[in-house]
Amino acid sequence: MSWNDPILYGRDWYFDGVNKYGYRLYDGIKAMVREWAPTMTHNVSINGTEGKTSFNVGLGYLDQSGMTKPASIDDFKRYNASMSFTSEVNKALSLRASAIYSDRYKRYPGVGTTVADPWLYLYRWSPLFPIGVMERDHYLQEPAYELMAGNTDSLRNKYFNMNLGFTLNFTENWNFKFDYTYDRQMTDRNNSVVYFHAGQHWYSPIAWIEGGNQVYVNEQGQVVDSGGMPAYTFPVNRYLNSNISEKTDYVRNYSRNDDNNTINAYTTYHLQLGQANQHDFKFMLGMNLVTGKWSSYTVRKNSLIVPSNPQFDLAIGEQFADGSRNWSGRLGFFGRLNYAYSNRYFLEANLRRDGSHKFPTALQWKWFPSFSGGWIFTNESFMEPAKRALSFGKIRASWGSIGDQSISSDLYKSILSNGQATWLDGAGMKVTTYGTPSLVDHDITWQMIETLDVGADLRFWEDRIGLTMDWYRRDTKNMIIPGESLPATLGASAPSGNYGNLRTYGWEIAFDLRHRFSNGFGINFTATLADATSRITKGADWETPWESRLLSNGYSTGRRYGDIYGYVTDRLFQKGDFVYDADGNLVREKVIYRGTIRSTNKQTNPYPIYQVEFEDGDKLVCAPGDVKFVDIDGDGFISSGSGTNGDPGDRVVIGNSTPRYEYSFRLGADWKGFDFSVFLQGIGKRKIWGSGQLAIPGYYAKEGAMPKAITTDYWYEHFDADGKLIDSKYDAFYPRAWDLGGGNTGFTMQVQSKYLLNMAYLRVKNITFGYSLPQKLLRKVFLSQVRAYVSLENFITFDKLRGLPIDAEAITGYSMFNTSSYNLSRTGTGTPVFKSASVGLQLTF
Amino acid sequence: MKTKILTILATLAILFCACDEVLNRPSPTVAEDEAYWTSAEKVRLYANSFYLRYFEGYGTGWSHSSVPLLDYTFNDDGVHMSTQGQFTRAVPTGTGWGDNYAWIRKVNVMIDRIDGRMQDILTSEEYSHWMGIARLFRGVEYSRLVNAYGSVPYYDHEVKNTEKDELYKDRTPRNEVMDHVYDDFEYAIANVRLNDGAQYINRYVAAALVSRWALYEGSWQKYHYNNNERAAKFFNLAATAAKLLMDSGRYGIVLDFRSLFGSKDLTSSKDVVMYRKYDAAQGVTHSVASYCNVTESRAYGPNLDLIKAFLCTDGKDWQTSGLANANDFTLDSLVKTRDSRFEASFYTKPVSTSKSCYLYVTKFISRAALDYLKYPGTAPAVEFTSVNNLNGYPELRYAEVLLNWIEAKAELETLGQGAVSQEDIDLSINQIRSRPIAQEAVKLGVKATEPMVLTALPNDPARDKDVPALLWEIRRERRMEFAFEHSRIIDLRRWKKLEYMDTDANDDLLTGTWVDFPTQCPGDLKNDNKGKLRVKTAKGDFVTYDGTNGSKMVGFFYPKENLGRLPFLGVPNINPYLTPVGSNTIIDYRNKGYKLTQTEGWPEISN
Repeated sequence: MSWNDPILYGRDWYFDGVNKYGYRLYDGIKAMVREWAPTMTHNVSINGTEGKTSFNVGLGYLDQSGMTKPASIDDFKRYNASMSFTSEVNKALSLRASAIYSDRYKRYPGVGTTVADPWLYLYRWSPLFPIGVMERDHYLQEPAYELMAGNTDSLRNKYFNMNLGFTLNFTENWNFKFDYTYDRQMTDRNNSVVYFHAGQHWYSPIAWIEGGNQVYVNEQGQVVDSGGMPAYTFPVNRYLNSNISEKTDYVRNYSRNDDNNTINAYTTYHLQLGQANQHDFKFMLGMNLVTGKWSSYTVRKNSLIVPSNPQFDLAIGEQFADGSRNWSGRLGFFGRLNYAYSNRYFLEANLRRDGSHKFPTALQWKWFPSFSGGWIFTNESFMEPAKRALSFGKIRASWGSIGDQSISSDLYKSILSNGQATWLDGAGMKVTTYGTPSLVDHDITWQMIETLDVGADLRFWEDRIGLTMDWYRRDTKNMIIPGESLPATLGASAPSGNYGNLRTYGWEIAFDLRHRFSNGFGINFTATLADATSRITKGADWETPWESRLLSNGYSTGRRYGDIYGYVTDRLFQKGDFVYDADGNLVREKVIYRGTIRSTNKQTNPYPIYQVEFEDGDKLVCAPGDVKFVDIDGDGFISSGSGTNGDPGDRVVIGNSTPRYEYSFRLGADWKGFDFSVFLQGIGKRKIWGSGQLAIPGYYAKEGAMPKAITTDYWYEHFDADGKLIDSKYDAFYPRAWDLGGGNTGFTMQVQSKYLLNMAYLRVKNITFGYSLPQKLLRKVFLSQVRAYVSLENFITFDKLRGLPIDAEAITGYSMFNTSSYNLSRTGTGTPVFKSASVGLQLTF
Repeated sequence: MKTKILTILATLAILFCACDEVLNRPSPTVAEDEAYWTSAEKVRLYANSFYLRYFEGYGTGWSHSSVPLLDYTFNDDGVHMSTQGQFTRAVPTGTGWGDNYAWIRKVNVMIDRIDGRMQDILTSEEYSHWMGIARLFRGVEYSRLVNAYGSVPYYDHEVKNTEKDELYKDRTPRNEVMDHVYDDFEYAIANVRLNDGAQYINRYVAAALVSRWALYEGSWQKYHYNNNERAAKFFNLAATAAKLLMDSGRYGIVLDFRSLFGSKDLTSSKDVVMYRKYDAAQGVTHSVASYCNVTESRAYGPNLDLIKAFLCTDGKDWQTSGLANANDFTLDSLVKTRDSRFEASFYTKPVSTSKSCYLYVTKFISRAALDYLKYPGTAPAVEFTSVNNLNGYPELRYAEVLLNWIEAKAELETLGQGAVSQEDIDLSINQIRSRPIAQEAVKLGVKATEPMVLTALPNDPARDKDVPALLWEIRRERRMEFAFEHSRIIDLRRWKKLEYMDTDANDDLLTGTWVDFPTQCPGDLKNDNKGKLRVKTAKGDFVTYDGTNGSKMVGFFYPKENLGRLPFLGVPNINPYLTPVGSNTIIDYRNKGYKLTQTEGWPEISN
């Protein structure tokens, strides 16, 4: 049977009057994802110089087709243009101007919401749920149909940037530079929601009646005249996707404009003193100014009269408008002194004073100094003999402090958030509401980032091999974090303030090599490796004694950032662990845990370890196939303690969510017009506790979908009608099946060592193979370069996820429309990373 | 050259002067607390955010936390096709007080601002009204907290995050908290406007809420703490508040029962004191009616104990009724012999989609929505599926006020304060019993129940011996009126009658309705149901369908999956009446050098 064969009652599904049973597996990937899609890119660049004036003009065009199979239109186009111009008017003055324009236009099937899209539903429901198939002459309510039947939405981003600047040379050693940039970003999003018309397999089926008569079918789904079973069908209805919170069809437009002005102005004085000018000074004084303004509006009109042409003029229902605006400003002044001594010793000192609108007036301004020094020891005369092997060597050290204002604007103000409640007033309109004034710390100021860095740059053998090493310590001071947790009686979460200090230690090594052999074969290779760990040196709970600090507080004083506390998995309970009565039933016994009598299954171990904390004394009781934990504190119970450092129960640090040992390799080679390059990237160590059905075994039985890696490797025993064991899997990786009802933890699926996801990976991100035609041939046709290439993106990935359909690189909850909470923040349900192969031709005139 | 330098310096000078303008950029769109409290209209917008807290109706979309049918399944009215919901069996580690204190904070801010910043802005009438609204919210919020936890820390002002001693204080005694609540309630029903426009809280809405919560507290004082003086204080408040509505002449019992729940707009109905309305054009819909459309399968439904509680139309319980068919439990008979609310609450045929009991709740959907059942091969209209429901919910209805009033009066009588007269009964219970009956119901033979006569109360053999006959009948009236709505579990708890939920003592709690499979549901006697269908015959024997004994499948539906709940009465260190506070909360207090007492009847942490 083909993946898109119509669904037939009797063959593919069955209804017993209450429940529906599916007998066919559907292929959502086939229904929703195109196997390949064409992409086109054209770039033109022209540059030239005329006297003391030079210019550059660039034009680009990209046309990329999307991967959504059922969509009528799914594509992305980009047009961009740039020009720049510089002119030396005279010795004292040179002028420059440049402009960039880009237009990015994406069209995609509208699903009416950006927080959950078909990528979630593709992986949310069981493959027993029909997808991509019709029932007789009608479609069914499923993501592939909705992608096909919805209108095409669009998102257009236009960007314009203009820069004007000049340089004034007062003397040969003293100049003044001024640059002014204006940029504007315009976002325009059109979307519409229409009613769908399809069979509803979510609800109870109805009897299939033709011409007033019940239809009968056989087990192949064929209509029969005699015998067979009464057939059911899915009721066809006009409906809206239930994610549509507006509960009606509509057309909507969102528009936003961002305007920014940037001014950079500074003056530099260059001074050389001494014999052969070995004392080289540079003085600099300047300022930056950045101001921004944005405004946005959303308008919507209900009830489309021509659903396929969603226009405001062609809608007749209620009208809604909403909008917002804000502005920002930053100003900074700085001075810098550079000193170099005969190209061997270097010193630099910097002092900045920055102000930001994000802080209360009295705390807006702050000083930020920084210093650095370097020594190119290979320029010393005593290093001359080693110059052949060590062609360049520099050691350097720096210390500096900079300000960070990457926080939201009104953190220090007590604000009543406004909105609309779904309570309808006397006129039938939603009422406007203002919320509780936020509880805030009024003294919010700059976060300071102080970095101490020691490093060395070395190059060997005529610069063919290079090695760069850095060690750094970065202190984030006055970090804005939530205050110490307070009792629920406060009625609000503790306000955030500059309470935290964070210290990061890290190092980076980069290695590169390039060489061309005498036969013309050239290779180049680069490798990088970096690692960093951070520790909270001061959290909001710094006054709380260590033993009372909460494990649940990720910013607890003394904690390593990203540490995951959990239980240590021992193994799965097996049948031999429990006592059975004469009838083969598990024997119950009573234990007292935390002052309450608990009923649990009796274990054979004379020193049993009880896990009653996760049990309810009824059905939820540990039995063969459930996870057995290690009793770290040796008290005979697996317990969460009181959730503090001093009483963590049996929880210990079982992993860390920070990406560690980030590495990459790039290898390139070329020979006689052929070129080859491969780029690999990976992470050496990272653990997370996942979220959602792709990561958590038994996440939500009601939703259905489960990765094969879980369904083929869990603990089970099957019995026949007489109670005889017919099949079992006792050595499974995953425990006995248990429905967590939509929870990421529950029963014995607590955060624990065995089921942490190992997010370490290595991905071959790109392989390119190209060939350039010999120059001799080209001159005749006025071409300077012709290159054909094949490029493979993301073709091979090595991970340690045991076959779970999760991309180790993807960020949970992130999409082009949402920076968080996308697709319920479930691990692995984001827009997938596509493997792509492309073939191209580059022509240079 | 010189001019250029001057130009540059001038430019820079302008930029430096612009500092203030660059950095002084307050958000133009946000409302700051400092500047917000400037008019009565602003107070209204603030108060608007409380409405859905106290009047959730049928919820919004798929989301609901305290809506009829879906969220009130933990009581003695229904049975799950599974283990029944359990009482809390051990002190949990995590949870503290829930989100109640967020609402306490919200309302205390409102009171602080009205009192502290708006004395000169509001007229004295506006001041009294909005203060009354705020104190009503505060009273209700503390009533909820006390109802769950007993004594709770009490704050009558906005507490700052720096006031550690205040935040970490121990519980305020229940009576002290409830005295504050009493004062708030008294103020509210004396000061809230008689009319503040449609869909806004007025004095009658306030009084209806006060009658509810004061009645609850009165019962707790009487039955749990044996404090008759305090009980009388709150029963009197409940009666006074209810009387306010009864004397107003604005309200009455004029609609048939089902219309109260299945209609789309009863905002100006005499039966309804407060109403939540839905409108698809505004994007406000719900999903509760979808669970009443008979097609949607339900694993929870009414049990035999509730069915038996329904009064017969002669005003007697089923055992002492003089009606010929009173002990015939087939649905056709029940429809005709029982109080009209029976037919209005349930589908009149046994159906397999109500998996635990075969009796399907249709109380919260319009009658017209079920017309499709007459035509085979049709499905419920879209409006009655998924999140597309549009019927509104009567948040507060006059019938409740009448029942609150008569119960308070009857309780006061037991405390030696006044006596209930036949006139009182006529004014309350008999007015409810005389409510109109829908045409569709009349066609099925549904009749109005005879009025209650004080001198001839039923002598129900099932009556709890320590409950006087009048109170017994008032409680029955509540049970019929409010089935699957918010109050049953609260009622059982305040009457100290959680033993009614003991499934070991009463098998009716796990039993469904009477089904005559061969005649009523022959289609269900099929091979797939072998070993699944089970009935309990009139004699009390179980018959499980084995493929051949179809003719014997007559009795109360009782699937094997309907299992009882674990014992919860008389178990050491379990107090089913009050909610414990999470042990981590108590440990946190201790670690900070404070003490939070555990809820009475629950253990302090032992390790």
